[in-house]
Formats: sequence, C-alpha cells, structure tokens
Amino acid sequence: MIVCTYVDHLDEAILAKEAGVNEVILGNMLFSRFGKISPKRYSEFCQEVKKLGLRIVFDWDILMTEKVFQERKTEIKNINWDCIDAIRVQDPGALYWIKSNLPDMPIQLLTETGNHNLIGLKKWKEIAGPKLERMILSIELPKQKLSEYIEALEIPVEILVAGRILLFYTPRNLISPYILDHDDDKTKAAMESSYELEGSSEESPHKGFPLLENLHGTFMFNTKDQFLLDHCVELQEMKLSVARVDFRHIKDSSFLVKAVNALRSPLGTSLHPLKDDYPNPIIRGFFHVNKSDVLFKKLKNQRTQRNDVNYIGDILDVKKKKHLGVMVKSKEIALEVGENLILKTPDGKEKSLVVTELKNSNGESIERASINSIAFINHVSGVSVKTRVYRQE
Amino acid sequence: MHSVPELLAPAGSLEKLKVAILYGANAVYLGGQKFGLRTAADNFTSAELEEGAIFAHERGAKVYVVLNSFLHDSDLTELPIFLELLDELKIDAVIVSDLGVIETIKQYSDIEIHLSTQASCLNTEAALLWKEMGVKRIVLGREISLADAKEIREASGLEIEMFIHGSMCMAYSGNCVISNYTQGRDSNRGGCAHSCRFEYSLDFNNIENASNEEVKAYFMSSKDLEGIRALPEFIEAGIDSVKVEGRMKSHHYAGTISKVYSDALAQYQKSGDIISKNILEWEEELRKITHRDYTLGSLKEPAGADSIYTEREHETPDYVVAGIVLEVVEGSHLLVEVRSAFYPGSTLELVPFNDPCIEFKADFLTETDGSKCEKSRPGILLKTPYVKGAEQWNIIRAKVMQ
Ligand code: SF4
Repeated sequence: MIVCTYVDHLDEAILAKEAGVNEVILGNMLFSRFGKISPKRYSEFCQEVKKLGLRIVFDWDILMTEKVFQERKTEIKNINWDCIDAIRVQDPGALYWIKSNLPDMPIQLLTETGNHNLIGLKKWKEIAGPKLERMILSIELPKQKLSEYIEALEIPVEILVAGRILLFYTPRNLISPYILDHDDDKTKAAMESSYELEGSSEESPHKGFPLLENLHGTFMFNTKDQFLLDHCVELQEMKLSVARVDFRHIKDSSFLVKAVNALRSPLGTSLHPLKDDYPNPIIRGFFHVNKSDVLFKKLKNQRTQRNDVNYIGDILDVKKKKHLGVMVKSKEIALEVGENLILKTPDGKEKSLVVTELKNSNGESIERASINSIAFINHVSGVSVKTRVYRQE
Repeated sequence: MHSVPELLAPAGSLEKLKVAILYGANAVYLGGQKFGLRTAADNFTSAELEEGAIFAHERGAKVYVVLNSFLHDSDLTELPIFLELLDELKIDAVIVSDLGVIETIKQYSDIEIHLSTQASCLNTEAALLWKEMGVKRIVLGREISLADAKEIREASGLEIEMFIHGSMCMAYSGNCVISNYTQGRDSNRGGCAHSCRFEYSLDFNNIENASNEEVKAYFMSSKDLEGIRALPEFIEAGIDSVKVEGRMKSHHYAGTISKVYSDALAQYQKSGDIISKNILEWEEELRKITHRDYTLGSLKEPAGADSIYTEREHETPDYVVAGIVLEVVEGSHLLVEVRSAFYPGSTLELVPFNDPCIEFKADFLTETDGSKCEKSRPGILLKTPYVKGAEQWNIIRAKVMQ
C-alpha cells in the first residue's frame, strides 16, 4: 500500500520521506481548500520537495464559480508543471480543463462526495480518460462495497485512512463577520488570514466541531477523526492501493511514522492499537456498515401514504352522528350510494362502511360524486380527518 | 411580446401542484416515493403522479420529476421500473445529480435530463462536461451570479435554470454531510437534519481581534432568496427557467409565489420592463408567506455577511391562510377547508388565480351540518359567503391580529 499525505513545509516533507511516505500532496493556497503554500513560493517549493525523491501531487480540490475559475485560469499559467507528477481534482470543470489543457498530466479524481454506486464511478473513470491514475473514493462506503469497487474499477483506489472528516463546505465567510467590523472591506478574509475555532450546539449531542474559514469559504469538520489505522490488514486484504493520512491539524509530527509503519507492513505491527497514541477522538465512520437511510421510513407517517389501488379520496370533515365529508380524488372511482368502503385512519385503524346516504354541500341528495367534488356520507364512529377512503373489493 | 423564462414551482403534493399551476406556474417539479431528496415530503404515488401529469399537461404546464439523491447500488436497481412509468405519463424531464442515475436513465429511457443543483455545477467547463453526459439543462448552484450564469449559458449552449426564490442550503449543494455523521441520516439521500439552522456557541479564545471570547449565534444559517427585484436581470441573462424552492412548504406558499412571479413575468412579457411600484406590491405579497429574512444571495455579488440569518424562527407573516376553497356554489356559498381560526365578521381576502385580491367579510360561517359556527378551527369544512370570481383551489387569507 502506498501512503500519501499533505506537506506545507520542507521539514514536513523531510519527515514524510524519512517515515516512508511515497507521495505528497502540495496545497497551493489558490487551488487547494486547505493549502497553505503561497502561489509565489509554490514552484520553488515543489522543486525542493522533488529533490527529496518524493512524488508530488498538485491539489486542485476547490469548487469554483465561473468568476473564480476565470481568475484561476490566469493563475495556473504560473505553475511550473515540471516537478508535478499528478493533479487531484474534484470540480468537474477543472477535470474538463485539465483534459483539454494538460492532456499528458496524470489525474487523481476525487469522488469522495456522493458517488455511491458503481455505474457512476465507472462512468467517471471513463470520462477522466486514459490519464486517470487513481480514484479517491468516499469514506462513507463500507468495507464490503469498497472491496467490490476496488476489484470492479480496475484502477488504483485511495481513501482517507486517518484524518479530519470534512462535513460542510460553503464559499461564504461565516466566521470573520464575528471578528472584523461588518462594514469593513476586510470582512472578506484576506488571502493569508484563516480562522480556526470550535463550535458547539445544544441541539446536537456532539460538541466541539472544528471550524475553519479561509479564502475559499468556511469548512466544518466532524468532532471525531476518521481512523482506520487499526484496520490495516483489512485494507490490505481489500487491495486498497493508496492510503491517505492527513495530520495537518495535529501537533505531534511523530505519529506519521507510526501510521506509515502500520500501513506499509500491516502484519508486522505490534498488537498495541494505534488509536491509543492518536491525540484526537476517533471513529471508524461507515467502515463496517452504512445504514444512513434506515431512519427515513420513520420520517413519514406510512399510514397516511396513499395506496393507489381502490383509493377514492380523503375525509376532510367529521360531524359526529351526522356525516363524513369526503373529497373525491380518484379519476377512476366515483363515490356512489351502496358502495362498500374501507376507511383507513391516520392512526392505523380500518373501518368498513356502506354508503347509504350521499349529499352535496347544500344538503341535497346526489347519486354520485366524482373527482374534485365534495360529498357527505353517513357517519361511522372512530374516523377522523385525513382518513383515506377506499372501495372495498 | 418579449420572451420570458419558464416559472418552475415546487409541488410537494398533488394539491400543491394544482395550486401552483392554477396560480400561474408554467412548470412544476415533484418527487415520487423514492429517489428524491425530500424524504419527509408527501411525495407522489403513481396514481397521484398520473393525475398531476394530466392536470398539468391539460393546462400547458410541464412536469419535472426529481431523482436527485446520490443513489446507492441497491437503489439503482429499482429505477428502471419507475422510469417506465415516467415515460408512460410523458413526464417532461427528470432532475438528476448522480452520474450513475444519468447512465441508468440513458439506458432505459429517452426522457430529458436536467442536472440538479445538488451536483453543484458552477462553471462553463463543468457544464460542458455534463453536456457530454447527455444533460439538456443545468440547474446552477446557488453560488452563481446572474453574470456568470449568462456566460455559462452562452458558452455551453445548454438551457439554464436558476433559483429565484426560497430557502437556501448554506453549503455548496451536495457538499454537506453533517447529518450523516451527527444523526446517521444521509443528507444526500434526503436525510438532512438542518443542522445549519441550529444555534452554535463559537469559541473565539484563540483568535486575535475577536470582540468576544464566546459568541452564541446562528452563524451558518442562510437567509431566504428573493429575486423579484433581479427578475429583469434574469431575463436579460437569458435564463431559461426561474425556479422556486419549497416542496415542503404550504399551499399558501405555492400559490403566492406562483401568482407573484407569474404576474411579474407577464408584465415583463407585455411591456419589456417591470415597474418599480409593482415590485413593491409583489414584495409585500411575498412578505405574507412564511419566510426568513430575504436576501439576493449571490445573484449580483457573492453572498456576504448580510446573507446570514441570525434568528431561529421564521418571520411571522402578517397573513395566514384561513382556508382553501374546495367548492363554489354560485350565489350561495363557498365551501372552505379551514387552515386557521377566524370568526364571523372577520375580514378575509380571496386570492384569485389571475386578478387582484378580493376582500370580503365573513358575514356568516356555517358548519356543514347547517349549525352556526362561532369560531373556525383547522380540520373542518365551513361554508362562507359566496364571492364572485372565486374558483376551486383559491386561497383565502386572513390578517393576523397582533
Ligand atoms: S444542514 Fe444545512 S447546509 Fe447542510 S445540507 Fe442541510 S440545509 Fe444544506
């Protein structure tokens, strides 16, 4: 398994090299969400890192509005591509641009957002074309899916093995309005300024969401980091090609060595779990199972959902011992005297009723009521408004 | 006659579909029982979808079905059957965000594909890529200005749809998974728990220049978009469809936004301009529906600090929906489905589909069994005085007593 990580400074690159990292992602602050390397220093820095024998990836993971993209197209001319081995990209516009303007540049495609089906992933692979060297998949894919996709995609796959989980990305500046004067032009974060703090809500059981604002907007991270370093054997068994570790937010630089060791020789590591040495709270996220749609059924009252067969309409008015007001909604089935009905109440009860009386809103008897009309039928107890009316088969 | 964009309104239910179309929307978008993002919405069953499509098509309106979840493999297997139904009903287009869904659609159907805002298409190159994938129309991300939209439209040759009104996701659409990790609900498959609307305490201890060490704020909640003032710019930019958010919102909302924006578009179509006096009237109307403070979002400039909604609750509107007209018995009465309380003698306002509102007094309120009603209550039908010009599905409003 290849290990890649982010570096912003030469000493970090040296450390990465010593630790056994194969590839480093260098974040130019104009193109990379959390990049700290200034455009001026970028090319020179790439050369310095290259001399260490590391593979270099240009990080272009920002999303760009038309205006921002136009500006970046001018800036990108200043990049010296000689030392750069690949570009990683998420915005489909950037992917399109790279294919037309840097046709020989290897591409690492970020499909971490959405992209939970094989048909779509295969199509992304096809779109990216022959220069695609890697796909970066979502950490919301459980291991069994990951393993299936790794086999089916037939291309090296990378996932985030350890690091912060990005929850939210907006181009708006949400932090600086609380720091600088609202009316001040500087409210928009200047290029160098970035703010990092924590936010907690009483409405959420999770406390201390890391927040970051920089020139690309505002980001929120999970309170716990993704951490699969104690599952390296499983990662190896599923033939994961590249493990990404992102420790930019933790101070202890020595942890990188332990992480790389664990990833490079999964079977050779000690039984001592690495999570015990990691400074932040951690989760395995969806690695074992992703059931993030099971709660959906509970969001709806299944009983009030209309079952189409034999559906006539809904009860809109109940006058005890007198009548039930029905709005006919079916095009096919009219409400008629003598009809046998089943009434399904919102709380799940079923009542049967034979229509012996059918009237309009003037109290006049009628033979039938069809779509979009209101009719009043004989009352039956235990029925409330929003009850669904069906013809009994 | 000047050409104007399509007005695309949300249809959270069959009744809202009817209300939106009758009040002037040229097209509606709605969700089936699966594949869309509004899991808690009423969403259409097959029969409702059929009825809705017939109702819309008979009136020259289009129907777009949202399939904009990021689907998992197992969800995709069920899609072809649903596509068959959409073809049968001659649904005009589907709104999609996931490439796997697009590929599946192309395999099983010729239905027109619109790219959902959920895919966050933000620039010309991205639009060109999606065009190659078979997309006919792009619903641009809400971060896009009208000037940018114009460029994207011209350079890509695609139809462009843009939001003109409604609530806004604070994140780049499709790029928020707060609910996935905090509530175990996939926000990209309809499980968003609206965590961006929560109040947060922000710890500024380590930050220079911060005025306070801790701030409690609704710091990541967006104001609602209101683009009526920018409508001429939408038209000048050549936007093909102006879209209103809000499938979860009320009949009152569906009716009001459809009426206001269709009136404005009709005026532009006739005169090639929009009179500012009318803008004020329309803005007043839009304040009668439940909303957060309004903003122009990023339509002209990137949304700034004044686009953040710093309150929890919605603005309390001056008007509430008193009821919906279900039956008109000429010369006798209106049969009204009551939505909020009013009294005999209350002044009510009937909102006709095309004409200005008509004020009337509830001289009598009669229950359906003939007894006098002293105070209306939601969940009953009532007879109110007949109002000339009233039609089924008209909204009746009441001014809120302060
Ligand atoms: S929590 Fe807010 S920002 Fe996130 S998906 Fe939901 S509405 Fe959008």
